[in-house]
Amino acid sequence: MFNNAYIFADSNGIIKSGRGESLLFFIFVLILFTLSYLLKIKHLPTRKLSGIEAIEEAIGRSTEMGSPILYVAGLKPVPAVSAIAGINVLGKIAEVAANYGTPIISPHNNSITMISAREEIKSGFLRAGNPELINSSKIFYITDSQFPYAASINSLTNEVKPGAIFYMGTFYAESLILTEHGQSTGAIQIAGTDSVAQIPFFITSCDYLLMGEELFTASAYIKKDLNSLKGVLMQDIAKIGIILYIIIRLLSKNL
Amino acid sequence: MKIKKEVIYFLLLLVIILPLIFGISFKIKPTEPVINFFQEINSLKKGSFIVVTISFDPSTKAELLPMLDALTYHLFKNDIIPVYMNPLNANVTNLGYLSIKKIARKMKKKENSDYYYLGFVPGDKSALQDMGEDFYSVYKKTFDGKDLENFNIFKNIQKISDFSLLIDLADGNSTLDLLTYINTKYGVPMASGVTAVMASEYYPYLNSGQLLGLLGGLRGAAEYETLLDMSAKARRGMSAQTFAHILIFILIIIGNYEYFKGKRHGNN
Amino acid sequence: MKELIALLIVLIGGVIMTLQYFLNIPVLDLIYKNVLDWSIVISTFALLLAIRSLLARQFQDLKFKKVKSIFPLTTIISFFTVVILGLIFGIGEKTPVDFIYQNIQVPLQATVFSLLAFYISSAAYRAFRAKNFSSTVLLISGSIVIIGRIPLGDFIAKITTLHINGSVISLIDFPAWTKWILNVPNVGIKRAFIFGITLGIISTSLKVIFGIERGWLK
Repeated sequence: MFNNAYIFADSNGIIKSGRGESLLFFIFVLILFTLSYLLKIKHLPTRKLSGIEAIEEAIGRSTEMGSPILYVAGLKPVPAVSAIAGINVLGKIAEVAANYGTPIISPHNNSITMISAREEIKSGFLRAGNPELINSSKIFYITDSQFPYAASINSLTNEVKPGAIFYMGTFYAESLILTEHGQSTGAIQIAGTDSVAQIPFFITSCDYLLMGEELFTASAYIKKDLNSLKGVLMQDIAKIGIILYIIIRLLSKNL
Repeated sequence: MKIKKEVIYFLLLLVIILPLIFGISFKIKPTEPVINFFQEINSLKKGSFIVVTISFDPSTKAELLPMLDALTYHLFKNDIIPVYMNPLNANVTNLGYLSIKKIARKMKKKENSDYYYLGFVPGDKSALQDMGEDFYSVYKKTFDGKDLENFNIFKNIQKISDFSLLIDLADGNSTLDLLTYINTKYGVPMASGVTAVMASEYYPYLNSGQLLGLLGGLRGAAEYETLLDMSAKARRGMSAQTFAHILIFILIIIGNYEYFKGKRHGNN
Repeated sequence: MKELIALLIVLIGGVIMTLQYFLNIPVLDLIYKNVLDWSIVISTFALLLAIRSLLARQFQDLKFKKVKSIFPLTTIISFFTVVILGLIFGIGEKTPVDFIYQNIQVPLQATVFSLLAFYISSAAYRAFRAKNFSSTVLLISGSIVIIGRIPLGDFIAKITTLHINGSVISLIDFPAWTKWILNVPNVGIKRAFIFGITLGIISTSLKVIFGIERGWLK
């Protein structure tokens, strides 16, 4: 009853061989997505994301110290969804930083991500009404190589002594090298990542962490507009659906 | 009393260097993911044509180069023909190429007949996906500039799915990318060797059968060397890693002792 | 107008790429292949953009920071040296670029990676403390894996092995416990994360395709 794979098994058919189950899952998500936007919902409550709430505090402290803030993009470049989600959070960071008049420094390992970050920071500063503080030369490319990138960021941290460091995107083995060093300089560190293997390292060395999907929902959480939050509602319902599917599969196997 | 960071670092340096200087080595017991990896290679027929993607930076050579060496030795020993490439990392080209060449020389294997090296192409994940549709739209020549169409063995290859197996040696997320874009999409069987920091990430894929085998960090490489009955870099390195683990374990105990002592004195 | 064109490209592109993954329609595969070729070309040009940014910053640093001018100077000299030597002598075996690569780049990069061991030791000392129930679970499981992944774990398992009624039982079997931790709780938690992350990615992608999320559109 629950094995749908055979329905789509024909490789000569309209559906590509072996992709039936994933198509079924995609249709399920698409239906939920459409429904969540068709339903007339007036209010969607959200739980607190402390990583986002702490942005203001971190930048405020950085301003008090007279230090800049550092935004470190992950290794996966735009158009990876984790990079886009990180850039969305950067918009909020830029807006708060512009309000406080605190400069942002952002080293990058990919030129396309660098340009996206530049534009996001620019519009953040414009939204806050502080366009004169925009300094594009502080958003720059270093290298696309993993550990030289980490070494450059650590050297930059030593040099500029940022009051707050934000790590957003996908990170690999360099995560602890970055965060332990950042922690030793006394900066407030806020991270957001979809790299599951790196979560323990970020928890150990950072003050706040957006774990996994929290990074993707951060943008909706920041905007607080209903349209963005409906996507989050879809995610939650889909998760309930997956849990129910797992339970039913388990029961059908054991009974 | 709190131990200073500098003291911890110095102790770690000692426990890493001393076992290497004195050449201490231990017996390593192979684990299931490594045994499966080993058996997967053994199950390939003589003359099988497989792909090995080298997706690591020179930075992680301490963990991954021993894997590449042991794997190359195993493939040559079993007369399997590997096609090496590094489409996801340009930095590793020479490191991988020369390391393979060294083993090939020792085992009297010829480049462009017993093995092929294709090197780097730009395009990242797009290049991977392109290989699934048309292999030659990504690679037309070997690293030393020979046309692939001149080699008979490539006549049977149109797409990456025409190879018998894909092995990725990686320090980042490339195994996941290959699982998504090559294994799931085009059905190429896959095995992987990754750094210890990334190994736990791949257990779900090992469990689901998408990864046929996994070498995790230096320990994985050492287990593989044990199975091959060779004592090379990884097994020697494991002695340093063993003492480093013991030191970290002792540090955790001391850290907890301090924590509870401090708590009793009410200053936590 | 500019915004509308960009949104239309994303909408059409997104729908075609999604359909191409699932459906057996040759024309979609052809479009997909062409898009992939374009991506490769674009990524090559992105590299040029990166080089421009790198050099611009280094020259700027050299101009305004007199104290630490050694760093930008090193970067600029290294960059041009490698490019010029590579163009003249090639990048194969026994070339000057290969010499620089094997004897400077590889050891330098390996040194940075090796720092990880030092940071792990100080982080473990600081963070692995039995402060509450969750951190105690982390402490115990972490300690088991630390011992279970080294030959000492095998040794302890061997000396604590008992033979009872023909069956072999090890009283302190760190490797077996490590295997269980990695295969059961680790996989379970990772799968939960994977589900959440995948849904997050699908949701964000759909929002981008349908123009609900326009943060990227600057």
